[in-house]
Parts: sequence; structure tokens; C-alpha cells
Amino acid sequence: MGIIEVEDVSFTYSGSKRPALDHVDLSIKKSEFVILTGPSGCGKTTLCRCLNGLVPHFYSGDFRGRVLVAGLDTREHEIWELSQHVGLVFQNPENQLFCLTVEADVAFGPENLGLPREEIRRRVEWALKVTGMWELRHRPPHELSGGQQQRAAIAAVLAMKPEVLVLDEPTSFLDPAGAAEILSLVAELNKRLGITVLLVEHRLDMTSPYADRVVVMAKGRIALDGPPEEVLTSREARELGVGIPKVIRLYELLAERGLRLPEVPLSPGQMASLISEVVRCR
Amino acid sequence: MSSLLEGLAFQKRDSLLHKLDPRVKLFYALAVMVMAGVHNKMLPLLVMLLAQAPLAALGKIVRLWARTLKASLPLVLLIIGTNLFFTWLRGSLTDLYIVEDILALAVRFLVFVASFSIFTLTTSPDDLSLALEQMGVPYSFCFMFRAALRFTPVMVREARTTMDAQRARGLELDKGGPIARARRYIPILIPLIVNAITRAWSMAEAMESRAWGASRKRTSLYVLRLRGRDYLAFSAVLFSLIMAFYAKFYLKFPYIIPIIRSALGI
Amino acid sequence: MPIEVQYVWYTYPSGIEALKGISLTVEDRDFLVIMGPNGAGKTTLLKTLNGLIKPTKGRVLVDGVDTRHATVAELSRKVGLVFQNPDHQLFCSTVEEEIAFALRNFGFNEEEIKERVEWALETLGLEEYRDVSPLMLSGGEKKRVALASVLVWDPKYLVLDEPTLGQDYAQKEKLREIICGLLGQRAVIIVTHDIEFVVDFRPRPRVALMADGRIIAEGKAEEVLTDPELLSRASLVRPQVPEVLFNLREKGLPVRTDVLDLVEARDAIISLARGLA
Ligand SMILES: Nc1ncnc2c1ncn2[C@@H]1O[C@H](COP(=O)(O)OP(=O)(O)OP(=O)(O)O)[C@@H](O)[C@H]1O
Ligand SMILES: Nc1ncnc2c1ncn2[C@@H]1O[C@H](COP(=O)(O)OP(=O)(O)OP(=O)(O)O)[C@@H](O)[C@H]1O
Ligand SMILES: [Mg+2]
Ligand SMILES: [Mg+2]
Repeated sequence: MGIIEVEDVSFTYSGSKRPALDHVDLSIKKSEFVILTGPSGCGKTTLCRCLNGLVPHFYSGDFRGRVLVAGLDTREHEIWELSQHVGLVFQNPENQLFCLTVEADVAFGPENLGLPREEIRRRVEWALKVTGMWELRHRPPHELSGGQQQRAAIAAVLAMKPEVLVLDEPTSFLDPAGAAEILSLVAELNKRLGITVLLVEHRLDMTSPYADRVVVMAKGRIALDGPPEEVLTSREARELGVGIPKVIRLYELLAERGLRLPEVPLSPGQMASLISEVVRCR
Repeated sequence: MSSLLEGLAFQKRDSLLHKLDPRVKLFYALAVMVMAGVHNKMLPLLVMLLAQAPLAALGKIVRLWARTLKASLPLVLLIIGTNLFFTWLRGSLTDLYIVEDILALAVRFLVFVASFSIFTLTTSPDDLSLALEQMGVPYSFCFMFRAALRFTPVMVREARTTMDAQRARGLELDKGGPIARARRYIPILIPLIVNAITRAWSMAEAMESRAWGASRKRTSLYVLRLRGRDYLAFSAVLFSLIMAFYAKFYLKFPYIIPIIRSALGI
Repeated sequence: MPIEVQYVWYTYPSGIEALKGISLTVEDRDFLVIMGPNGAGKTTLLKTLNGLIKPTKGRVLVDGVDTRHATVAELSRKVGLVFQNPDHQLFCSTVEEEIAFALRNFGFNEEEIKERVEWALETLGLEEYRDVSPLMLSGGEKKRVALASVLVWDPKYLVLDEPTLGQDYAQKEKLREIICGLLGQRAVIIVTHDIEFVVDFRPRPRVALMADGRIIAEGKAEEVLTDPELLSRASLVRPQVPEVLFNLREKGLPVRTDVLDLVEARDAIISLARGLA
């Protein structure tokens, strides 16, 4: 069984007529890196909210089906319990840092859990170090760059020791260098520590090289689910308005002209290697 | 007004005063308030005001402290003005001693501002909320207080941006009569309110996701412990407080106007 | 007549020097993209164009008028600035009202207001939302309403701060289509972090890179956006197409690297393959 099991979940926000999620099934295995994408309003954020119990505990509405997180049914466990298994990082770093130093912010979660002080200290130190924020721990968050703020937000969530990290468009306020910084941090957490990652993103050119799987949602349903090479070359992905990375489009253009690469490239570096192999063999 | 608020905002410095336990500083601010409250004569109040200048220097905040005092001058003038006016109505403005008492009231107000600004300039809101927490104030209250301080500058910036965005659409804020002007603030107020609500909502969401409201008892990473210097400072403040009461009941302070007069030989 | 930014410096009251000697000219019907890291001063620069910010040193001339000698409202008739976050400005109860807001401020008559609102709704494909509250719309739609609410008075210079932020691919393509439709009749200035969005424009814009309050490069997109040194100074990541070519070059294959276009890149790679074969 996966660490996250979404089983036939439908959800309609109270006061809304249309369901935001419509019979969603999704299973994520431990240590997987999954990208979730799809047009605006298709229900990505709502699905993220289901994973730590914000739906249905914080957002009320009509909830059907069930979500299991590390074996816990989200309907029967509270958000604070679930948040020790699934950490949510939101889009706007400003609204998820409440304290006047980074360190105090990272301590916030474990303090709420009422852990012993020594344990809190250990976790805070660990979280600050793996995110590279140790040197900046005494700085006020609002004096940091966007990328650093978002790293602080990730550290704050990691201090809860979750097995799964869910990030909802974490780079959209950042400049490209800041975005790259966050993505490589997330990739490293996934590789080195085996943390399961669900990343919501529109910009697949930067993110797909890291992904084991790409899930595309449309109108509250899961429309496509598979390895990036497969999903991003499918006709359906184009029809759903997924932004296909340029390397894949170039791959297809080359194929039309008879230059077939042995693999579907996900990054420019990979593509160049493939091309140079093929070209030199000829 | 905004510089008065600015003068109350925490300034990060490396000073002895900053390192002092926030509870001691809170005690200091309250003690000065009581001392100034029980005295109503110019001489002791003036002493209290001047005695705080070295403290501001100790906290390396003299310039901001002085700016805060300067920013409160309009209020001081208001206090003096209204009092003078009512005294004049009663027809007793001829008495110079009464004028001195009125001026003493203004100095008392300055003493309040002075001590509070030393307190807030050297105490981070995080420390203050920690102090309140350890004194038994419920955590959710302390947190609210802290978050309000943290987000004030954010909201101010947002208000500026909104104003700019509407001016870029031709809104002219300072045109026409008072009612027309007030109406022109609607396009600024509505987005501000809507955004404040959205922000509160997404903050709440982020807090919930970090175990806010977990049923267990909360621990705090930081603990305030009183050290030698804190006891020393505390004793000094206590001593001053006792002295102030002693002075109030056993000493009679002369007016300073006759002293100045005789010194100048008028 | 153009907008001329002449050696402009600006220091915020808090003491932050946001602009340090910016010089820039925007011609009539120009198409200019400004890129650079967070905090480079891009938004500050845009605010000097309609007088929201008056330079501490240097000057900005809009069609010959010094911004210090005109009100924001007067300058805005020529320079329409659309802010990054639509939530900072949407407040009316219907989209139609929202779009008409500026026209009322500028004193247009009712008939003209109706005509122009109609035109703006149509241009941005917002007809079906005319009676909906702008606050109920999705992020992408809100951005379009904000754009419409400025475009409606047909400013000579249209200035957009991060128009693609938080948008999905389809919304970005729609936006591109709208912007392309506007080019040629007025000048368009865009600030954005989204390099792939810029690269796909036909015609290609002129690009200015900013960093730390200065303009560090200005020129054709093909030149500026393929130069590794400039890009790293502006915290940008090279677009994928030239990155592939650059990597090929690194592997010792003779290809041009100043190519942004997919088809051009394909042809370059195909001819490389033929050449070697
Ligand atoms: N708090 C809420 N109350 C009511 N309806 C909501 C709420 N949040 C989202 N919705 C609705 O649920 C649907 C799905 O929204 P959701 O935010 O999950 O989409 P999304 O895929 O995250 O979009 P985006 O890419 O724009 O972030 C939308 O129709 C939206 O209007
Ligand atoms: N209202 C303000 N008061 C004080 N400083 C400001 C203000 N607005 C911006 N700044 C500062 O001026 C500098 C330039 O900011 P600006 O917003 O122009 O950057 P930007 O290039 O638009 O960045 P971003 O990509 O993040 O939008 C930054 O250091 C910023 O902190
Ligand atoms: Mg979302
Ligand atoms: Mg900006």
C-alpha cells in the first residue's frame, strides 16, 4: 500500500454547486517524486488540502470516499496528527511565516505538539541544517529573499518530521534562480532523505527532470497519470493545455524530420547527450 | 503620527538593555508609569524624564528615542493647550504656579512615552509575548499580539500598493470636498479588507498545518531565566519605586518657577 | 514622441536605493521586456513612468513632459500601468463597473464609456462575465479584468507588471494572443520572470536586464537571452532551446547557440546531423 491512498474521493465546498474533486483515485508510494499539474481551477489545491486533513476538517463541505495517509484515515484523525505525516508548503511564503526569527518559526510546529524541549531543539537544528538556513536562523523572515523565505517555510514543515512533503506552487513568486534553488532543495530531500514529494506546478520544463510521475488533473478528475516521458508526449496532455517543455517539443520536431532520439529527453543536458550520441553514430 | 508608531517599533541592537529579561523591562515601564502617576509636581517629573536619557544611551537607541519624544510633541501641546484654555475660562491663568502644574502634566505624559518607548524599542515582540506567556497569559492571546505586530508593516505596504494601483487608474484622492474625498477611499478600503480576510484565512490554514490547536499542552523552545543582571536591574527599579513613594509622602517639592526667577534675578 | 528615462535614481524613504542611474527610452509602438531578480527595482522603475514615484535624481519625460510637473492622473492617460496583483485593485460589484472605473475618473461621457467598455470586454474575451463580481473570478480571469480596466482608456504606453504570475499554460497563451493583438498600435512594456513566455513572442521584444537598481544589458532577445554571463547576473536560467544547443557546442559539435526558435533549432540540429553523416 502507498503512503498516500486517495480512494474515490469527491468533495464539494459548502456553498458551492460544482464539486472541486470528482471521484479522484491516486496512490503515491514511499519516496516517490510526483508532479501534479492541470489547468487553473481543476482542483489541485483542494487535493493537497485533502492530504493533511484540511479538507474536511478546516474546509467544510460534502466529502465522499476516503484518504489514507500512512494508514490513517483523514476523517478520523485531526489535522495536527496528520501534519506529522504530511507537511504542506503553500504558494505565498509571507503568509506561512509568523514569527520574528526563522528559528522561532521552525520551532512553532514542534512547540504546538508539546514535544520535550530537547527534542524541539534537535528537530529545529536538523531542519535548519538540511534546508541550508542554519546561518540565517536569527534573521527576521521579512528581511530574507523570496527563495530564502520559502526555504524557511520548508524547514518549518520539516520540523514536524513528515514522511511526505506537499508543495503547492512553491516557486511562483520567485525569480528563476530562486525557483531553481527551491527545486534542487526539494529534489535533494527526496533523494537523500527519501521524503515523498508531491509538487504542484505549471512549469514542467524546470520540474519534470526530477519527477518519477506526472499526474494531470482536469475538472476535478485525474486525467493522466504516468512517467513524465509518457504523459508529456501524449496527445491528451496537449489537449488538456499542459505546457509541454521545449525539449520535448524539439524532440518531436526532430522525429518528424526523421531524427529519432532513443529516449524522450526531459532536460536540455540530457537532450544534448542523446543528440550527440545519435549524430556521431550515423 | 506614523513616526510615533515607528519610534515604538523594536530595534535590533546589541546592548545590555536588549539582553535584559523582558519581564524586568515590563516591570520597569509599569513602575515608571506608577511613579509618574503619583507625582504631580514639576521637579520630580522632570527628574524622572531626564533620568531616562542615560538608559536610552545604554540601549543604543538615543536617536530613535528622541525622535519618539519629538513625535509626541503635538500631543503634548494639545494637553498644554486644552488645560491652559480651561484655566483661562475659570479666570485663574494669572497664577504662574498653576501654569507650572499644567506644564508638569505635559512632562508626566512625556515620562510615560519615554519609558514605554525604551521598553518597546529594546524588547522584541517575540520576547514580550514569551514574557506574557510565562506570566500565565494564554498562548493564543500572545500569538495574536505577536502576529499583529509582525503583519502591520505588511498591511501598510499593501495599503500603499493599493493606493498606487487606484491612482494609476485615475483616482485622485485629494480633489473635491470632504464627502467626495471620503467616498474616494472606498476603492482603497474594499481591496484592503478583502485582502486582510484572505490573508487571515491562508495564515490560519498554514497554522493548522503546523499543529496549531493540538490538544496536548504546548511547550516552548525558549525559556526566560532571570540572571544576575536581571535581579540587579529589578532591584534598582524596585528601589526607585520605593523612593518615589517615600518622596511623595515625606518630601515637599518646591516650585521651580521661583527658583528660576531668583536665579535670573527677575 | 517617446518616454525617456534619463539617469534616474530613486531612494525609498526607508533608505533603500532602488534605482541607481537608470536610462532607458521607450519609442512609440515599442515592445520592451524587462527582466531581473527579485528586488532588482523593476516595479519601482515602472512606477516612475506614470509619476507614482518621482526620481530623487535624474528625470523621466513622457512625450516631453517631465513627470515632476504633471499629476499621476494626467500621466496615466498616456501610461497605463497594470499592477502585479489584481487583488490590490478589484473592488466593484461587477466586471463592467470595474472596467468603467477609470473612464469615470477621467471624465469620459456615458456613451463613450459604454462603447469602450464593450470594446475592452470583447478584446479580452470577458463578455460572459460582465455582470459577475470580479472578486468571484479565478486568478487568471482577475488578471484579465485588471488588464481590461487599464486597456479601456487605450493608453499610448501599456505597462504590465508580471502578467503571467500564477497562470497556467493555456491562460498564458491566451494572454500572449491578446498582447500580440495590441502590438503595433501602442507601446507595450512587460516585466516578467518567465523567460519561456518571452521567447515565444513573435515579433520578439527588445529585452532589458536589470540587477541591483541598474540596467545591465539591453538589446535583441536573441542576443541578451542567450548570453550566459548576463543571464546569471540577472538570476535567469537560459531558455531550453539555446541551452540544448549550448550543451551540444560543449560536446564539440559545431552549432550556433544564439537561437531561441524551436524550428530554427530543429533545422540547425538536422543540418548538423547531415553535415556529420
Ligand atoms: N475555499 C473555497 N471555497 C469554495 N470554493 C473553492 C474554495 N477553494 C477553491 N474552490 C473552488 O474549487 C475549485 C478547485 O479549486 P482549486 O483551488 O483546488 O484549483 P487549483 O487547481 O488549485 O487552481 P490554481 O491552479 O488556480 O491554483 C475551483 O472551482 C474553486 O473555485
Ligand atoms: N514601498 C517600499 N518601501 C521601501 N522599500 C521598497 C518599497 N518597495 C520596494 N522597496 C525595495 O526596493 C527594492 C526594489 O524593489 P522592487 O519591488 O522595485 O523590485 P522588483 O524588481 O520589482 O522585484 P520583484 O521581482 O520581487 O517584484 C527592493 O530592495 C525592495 O525591498
Ligand atoms: Mg491552486
Ligand atoms: Mg516587482
